[in-house]
Amino acid sequence: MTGVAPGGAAQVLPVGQPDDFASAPKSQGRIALGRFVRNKVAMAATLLFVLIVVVSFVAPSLYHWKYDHADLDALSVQPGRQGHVLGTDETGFDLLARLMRGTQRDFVVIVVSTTIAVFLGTFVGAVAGYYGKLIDNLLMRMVDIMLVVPSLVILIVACKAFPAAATAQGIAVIFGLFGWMGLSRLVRAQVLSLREREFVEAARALGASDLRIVLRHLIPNVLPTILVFGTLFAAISIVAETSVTYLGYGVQPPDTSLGLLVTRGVDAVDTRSWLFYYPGTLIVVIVLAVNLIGEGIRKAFDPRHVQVRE
Amino acid sequence: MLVFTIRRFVNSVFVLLAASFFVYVFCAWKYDPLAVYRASQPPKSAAFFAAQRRALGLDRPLVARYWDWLSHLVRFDFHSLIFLKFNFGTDVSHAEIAPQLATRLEVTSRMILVAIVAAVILALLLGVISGLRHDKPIDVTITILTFVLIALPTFWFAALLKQGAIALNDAASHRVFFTTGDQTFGIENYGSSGEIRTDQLLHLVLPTISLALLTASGWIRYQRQSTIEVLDADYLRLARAKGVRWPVVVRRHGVRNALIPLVTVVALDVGALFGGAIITEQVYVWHGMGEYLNEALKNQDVNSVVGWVMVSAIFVVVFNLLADILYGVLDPRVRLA
Amino acid sequence: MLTVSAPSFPADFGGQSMRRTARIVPVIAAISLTATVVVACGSDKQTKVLTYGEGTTFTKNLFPLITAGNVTSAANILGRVLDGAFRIAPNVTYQQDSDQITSAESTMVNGQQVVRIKINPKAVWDDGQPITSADYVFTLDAQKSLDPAQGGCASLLSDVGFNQVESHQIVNDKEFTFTFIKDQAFADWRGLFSGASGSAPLLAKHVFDKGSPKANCDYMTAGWPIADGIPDGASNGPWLVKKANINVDSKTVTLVHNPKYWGVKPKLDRIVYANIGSESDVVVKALKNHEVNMAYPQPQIDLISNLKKLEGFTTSISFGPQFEHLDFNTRNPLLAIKEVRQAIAYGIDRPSLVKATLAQFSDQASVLGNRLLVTNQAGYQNNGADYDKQDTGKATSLLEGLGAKKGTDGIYVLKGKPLNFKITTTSGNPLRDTTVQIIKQQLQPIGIGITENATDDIFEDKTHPQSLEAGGFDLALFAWSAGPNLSANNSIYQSLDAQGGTQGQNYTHGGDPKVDSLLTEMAQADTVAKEIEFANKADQGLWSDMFTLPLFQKPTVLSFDNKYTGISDNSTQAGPLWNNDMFAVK
Repeated sequence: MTGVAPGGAAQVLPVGQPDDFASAPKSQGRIALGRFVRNKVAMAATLLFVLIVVVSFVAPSLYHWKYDHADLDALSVQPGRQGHVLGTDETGFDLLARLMRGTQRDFVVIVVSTTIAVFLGTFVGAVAGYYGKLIDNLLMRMVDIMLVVPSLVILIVACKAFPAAATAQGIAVIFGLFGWMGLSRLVRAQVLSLREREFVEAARALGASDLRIVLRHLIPNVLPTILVFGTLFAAISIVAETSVTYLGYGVQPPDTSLGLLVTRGVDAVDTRSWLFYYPGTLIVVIVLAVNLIGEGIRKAFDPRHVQVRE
Repeated sequence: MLVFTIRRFVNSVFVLLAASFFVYVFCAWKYDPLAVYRASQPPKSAAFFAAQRRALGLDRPLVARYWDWLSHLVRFDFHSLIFLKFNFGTDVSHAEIAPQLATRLEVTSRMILVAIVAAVILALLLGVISGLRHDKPIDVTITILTFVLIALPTFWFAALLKQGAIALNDAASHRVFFTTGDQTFGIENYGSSGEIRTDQLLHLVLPTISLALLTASGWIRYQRQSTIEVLDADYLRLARAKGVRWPVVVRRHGVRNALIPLVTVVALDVGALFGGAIITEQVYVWHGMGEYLNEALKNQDVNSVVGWVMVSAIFVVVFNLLADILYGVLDPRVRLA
Repeated sequence: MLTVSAPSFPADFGGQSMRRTARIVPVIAAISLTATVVVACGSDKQTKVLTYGEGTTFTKNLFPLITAGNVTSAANILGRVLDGAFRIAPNVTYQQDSDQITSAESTMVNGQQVVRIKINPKAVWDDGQPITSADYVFTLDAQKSLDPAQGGCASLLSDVGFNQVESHQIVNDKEFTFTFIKDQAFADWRGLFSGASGSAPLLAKHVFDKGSPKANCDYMTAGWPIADGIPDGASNGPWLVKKANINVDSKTVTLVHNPKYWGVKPKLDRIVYANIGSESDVVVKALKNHEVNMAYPQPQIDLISNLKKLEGFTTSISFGPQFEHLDFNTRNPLLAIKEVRQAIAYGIDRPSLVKATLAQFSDQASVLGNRLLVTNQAGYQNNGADYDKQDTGKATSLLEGLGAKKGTDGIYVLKGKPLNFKITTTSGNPLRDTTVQIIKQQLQPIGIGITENATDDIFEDKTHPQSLEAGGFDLALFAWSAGPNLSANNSIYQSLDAQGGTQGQNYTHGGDPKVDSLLTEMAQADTVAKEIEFANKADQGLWSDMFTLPLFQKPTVLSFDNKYTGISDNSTQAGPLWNNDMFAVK
């Protein structure tokens, strides 16, 4: 919903092959990277995100409370008491340990779901756009069908039918399987317009196979769209995980996720406020960071500042 | 244009059919609506379960059940709104599904329609402002706000909203805002129709605010983006070069063209909204479509779930079609493509 | 082709807004709605109304004898609509309702139990027809059997007790007797006429008699769908449920006075019963905003703290008939050994478990020491005092006495198999998750490994391998419900042999002939005192057998607006609306 207008406002001019020409122009990607690095807000967001993720994976081995160990003498204690930096919940689980474990789970959700969605979306979109006609028709009909089926229903039914689905990986897979359709339309639109360009004809004339054309010539030009979609999808999948967990599906105790922490914390706003504010703030910060990274990527590839280059 | 519409319509019917088959088979495969009886004390006899299975048609093969459902799905009925009458079968307690969905839909639509209007106004205002003044402080503020909006979970925000509303009620010493239900419980027994309508209006306030802000968040970003792009467009620069004053340029060319993408995005999202708002309904205890789906899924009731999916799918399809047509109508460039 | 640039999740999955906006908008709305505020004020002319917020699912059927109508919400609505000769009092015994019957006595005649009941002469149905012995006798006959071949009805909940009645005799319109089969006395005979809240309403013959057992059965199987309400002539209590007062879409039911009721009229004009669910925040806000005046939600720690903070409300916590317990599956070769089960029981620190789970709700929480009687029930005694404290020394000596050796991971190995067990329980229940976690930590030092298996399949049928019925579990954590009918426990604790080869509800498949005979005698005792005596004896036997381990009773929480009087908690299946004719506004 944000960032990319129909008709491909993020359409960038095609990237030529540096070794095909005499001079060695800076590739589009490198220019964008440079611009991204110079963007202070985006860099701060990236740093913050990386920091949070690294801490969540590394710190648990250094912290003496484990996420699934209940300290029965310290039930619902306030932050700072009895060696619990951020307090505990009603079972005696340390909140900081749970937050780190929850971030790990959410990171798994992001990575798995975004990877699946990006791969599927790019593949389907590129194939549909490149080959056109019957294949395009078939694939787009499939996209329409999947758009119509509500992913929530499938997720809930799957969680009931397959216990393996009620985990971080399980819902991530379902998010990915039901989230790629938007990207495929975007990619398809861009590929459709790009394949008529002369450089594609030229590559074909030189004897390049379809696969090579798609991979080496078309995909790199679609990359900005993919990247922006990816970050947006990552942000949305965190929020979706929260919603799904609130409805009772998704990650089950004793395992935890940020969504589960926030769900359980919502009632504690007046009574045990640390359980409400810490998980909630962390989610907001992570989603904010991911969104800002996405904004930075979009700005970096902004065609208004791009040089015309074939 | 007409050919295009008809082709899309036929395509939509096919899509709906395929989706219904997929969902029906997927649900019916593993669902056991009799699960609720197994926990009863004392346990029920095998004969009881056999009778129930027969009554619910569970002893027949999956595809046969689907065909049964499909063959009764639609009838021509010239008294109905669109000359069609839907029959989604009966649920696990042998009540007809279609009338229930109709009532639920009415309840949910009340909430959604007002929310959409509010969200569109918000998106236009904030989106255009932040687009016009992009990268300036006001834009930064609005951008941060929208990002925070996107990140905050629905139920979190609803809890805070309710708290604020009750505080206001206490300050005013009178109950203006309501946090539960779509009307005061039992008001139909003593209230006049005017009182009931006012009561329903007051019950609409909080859920609408929740939903409006939720949907507006994405739209604001979208509107901002398209405003920026349009303002930067060549034809606007040309108009300026010709000597037209900037405010006039913005008003006459910029805003109108910037609205086009938003209109289509709204049309698309509305289709999804009608099938959603599950959490909002749960938090405000509105007995609408979202709650119906929740219960159907808990009861493992295939017919109800598929019926719900069909209604939601029809809305998605209709609004997608509308979006395509709208876009074609509004943007002449697309029509020629 | 139009493009969609975002993943297609329901828009609800977006996110939410900013507190500042949240404060401004309601203020603007408040100002603009000032005009309508006047209209909205005081629109209910009758102020003697109580709105009850129901926490469980809205019932689909109003007939209590079929499964669809055997839900808490139906019992709450119908409690004083379909009144019974006896009512379940808060101390889990039957209390006689002198408005319905003037006397009821049970005597033994030649080894057969004979009950004589005298009906109140003023008792009439809501259509004016008198309540007669014919109605009572019809009620007995209608539930005699669940077997259609014998003229019974398969969709009824239970025929327990009714199927032991040999004959009945109508003395006159207001007096009748019924006799039980020789040597099959039924101690819980009062439960046969305990009204809707006891799942034993009185059936009006002129409404239910359709001519033949099959026709009667068909009528009862269909029940009373909620949209249609209750037919005229079927109600005998101070309140009525009329079709016009049922709003299925809003899930509300309004109770109104029964003009034909001959007893004391209720002090309230109406009771509105509305389904609001059990979500903690929703219930608290609904009460605070006076949208409901009374609620009985599922207890949760923050819910209770928030309720207690509400000004002008009384919140009381008591302990209900539902209690958590562990089932040991004796089909597991390790758990078939009594000493292993006892070791687990000694290893679990039940007081600490209670402290960690329930003491946060109430300091009255205690361990449950009896399988058939709960702590607030008449006759309760703690038969398991031996296990009241954790005794790791005894646990390990029991295991080592069997020849178990501790492995490198700290888990005992017996007969080549490690003592690793799964506790199967329902999913999505934080209290149970916590319970399993704590048990796991308590059993680790004595060398027993525990993992949690939370599944929705636990109550499924035999085709689901993880269900109780299929026996696919090691230990199972779930709840039973106690009540005044002690004989209902027999299907849980009697051996398969004693139950004719079927497991009934005895999922452990444990059996002890001594306990079997004690339980049979309990069910046939002719006085309540004898019933309780046999129950305790049987329970003592069950403690030494250790097929199941009772843990603690689940708490219930009641919260109501202080401007109402007469409300008192009843944590049995009768519910807090059990005496709703006594509710009044101050």
